[in-house]
Amino acid sequence: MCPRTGTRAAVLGYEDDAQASRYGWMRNTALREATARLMERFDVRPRDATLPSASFSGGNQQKLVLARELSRGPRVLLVGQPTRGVDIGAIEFIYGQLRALRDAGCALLLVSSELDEILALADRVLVMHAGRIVGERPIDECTEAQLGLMMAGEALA
Amino acid sequence: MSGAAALPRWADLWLLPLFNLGLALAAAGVVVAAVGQDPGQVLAVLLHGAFGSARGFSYTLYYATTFIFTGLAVAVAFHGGLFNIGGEGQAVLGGLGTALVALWGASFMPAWLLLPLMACGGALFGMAWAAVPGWLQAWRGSHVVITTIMFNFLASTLLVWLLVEHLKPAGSMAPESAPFGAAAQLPGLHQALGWLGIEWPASPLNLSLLLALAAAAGVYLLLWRLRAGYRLRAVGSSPGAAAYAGIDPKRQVLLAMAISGALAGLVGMNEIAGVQHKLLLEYVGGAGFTGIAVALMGRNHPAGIVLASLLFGALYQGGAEVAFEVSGFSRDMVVLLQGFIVLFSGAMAYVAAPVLARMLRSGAAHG
Repeated sequence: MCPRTGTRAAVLGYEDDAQASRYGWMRNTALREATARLMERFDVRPRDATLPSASFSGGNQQKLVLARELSRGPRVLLVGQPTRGVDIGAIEFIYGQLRALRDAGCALLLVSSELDEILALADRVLVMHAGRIVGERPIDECTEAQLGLMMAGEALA
Repeated sequence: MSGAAALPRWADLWLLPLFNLGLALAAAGVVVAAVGQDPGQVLAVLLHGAFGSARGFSYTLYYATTFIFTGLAVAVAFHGGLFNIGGEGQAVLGGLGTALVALWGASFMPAWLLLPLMACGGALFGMAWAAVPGWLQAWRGSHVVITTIMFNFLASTLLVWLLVEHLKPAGSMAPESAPFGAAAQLPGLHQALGWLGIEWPASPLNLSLLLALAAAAGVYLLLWRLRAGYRLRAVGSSPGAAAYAGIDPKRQVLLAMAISGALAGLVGMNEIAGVQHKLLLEYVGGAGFTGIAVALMGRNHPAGIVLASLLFGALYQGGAEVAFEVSGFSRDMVVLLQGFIVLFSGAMAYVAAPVLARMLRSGAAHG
């Protein structure tokens, strides 16, 4: 098996899990099948779990990493620029997954430079300027213009 | 890598290496013709010398045994993202460890207990010798390529000092240890086959061939089946991603070098326990460096390394026959052929890939 396959990438950091290994042995067949299912669910293309992960496009690599993290039902998730390089259809899917995680009680810290993404996903927004948090707003009080001003360092009451 | 990706898997694994080997043979043939020899005759003598008789084939396998150990050593380090140039020194230390256990235990231990202990001694000494550069790289940032090269020189001078000052029997002039007792002599394959009632001509080939094949299987299981190997290869592929995933790259570097050194250390079982039956100088004879070529040629996979070891063993044995049979042909010509193989299979391994891919595609379109 090729050393850097999508299957291998999809288990990185979770190789101790019971689904991934037992008594120190990797469960390669089970892993390949689980990765194939994840690829189906997250629409990773091409759907080939044996392909080296470096051969996927950036967006599909991103989906692979998100699939790895989101599928495990985390209780806390730090996620930065989750949709960078991902195609539009997949963006909606990823948003849906993140919202479902929130609804299931997962604490989500999202970092993004896309205002649309923040307005679409966040419940509470912290704005940073020059390395400092300069303001906090609940989502109903946020507008694009206001967030933009805060990002530029404009102090708002 | 992009050229390799365009090739189907079977072509990448079989066609390309064979094609590269063919190129190396052709280039060597041109040189042989240029010095006034008949390349066909040389190749025929080489092949006959290496495979044409039970005795010749035994020598081929004997050389191959050492190359399997050193090739596997290079491959394990490679999968951990390290280039271990120190197989030579680690093999020297492995022979030392094997010999020390043999000299200590031969008088009171039975062979069935002593021989495994000698293998452990060789592996442990090789392991320790490789772990120091591994530790220096992981915790002190000294590049393992530089330190392992330096450790080769340290190993050979250490061996000279130990032999001359401590291990040489009193009154002897040669820098050699006392010969081992009978219990410390690993049986030759002809002896082992003789116990089974099979006639086989005497040769240096010994039971460490089986140890080498077991080591190849073990390396395969470690790297592709065990979680420990998954971590090791994860660090080799991307130390940053591995560290992010909670794998400590430093420990993996140390582990990869230790296993690598242990494999190189097992050379002592073939050369010292199996053939020489005493510790002496220069018994590794460059096999540590040949292991790099073997690992390159074998694509750092145990099965490939066994096949590449067979090839290099055949070159050594067949080359010796050629040097003997063909006047004006020195053994250096075999070194030349090895050089071509390293050049075409290692440095230029993927140069022919786009051409082959195009030929396969047009072949498929017409067929």
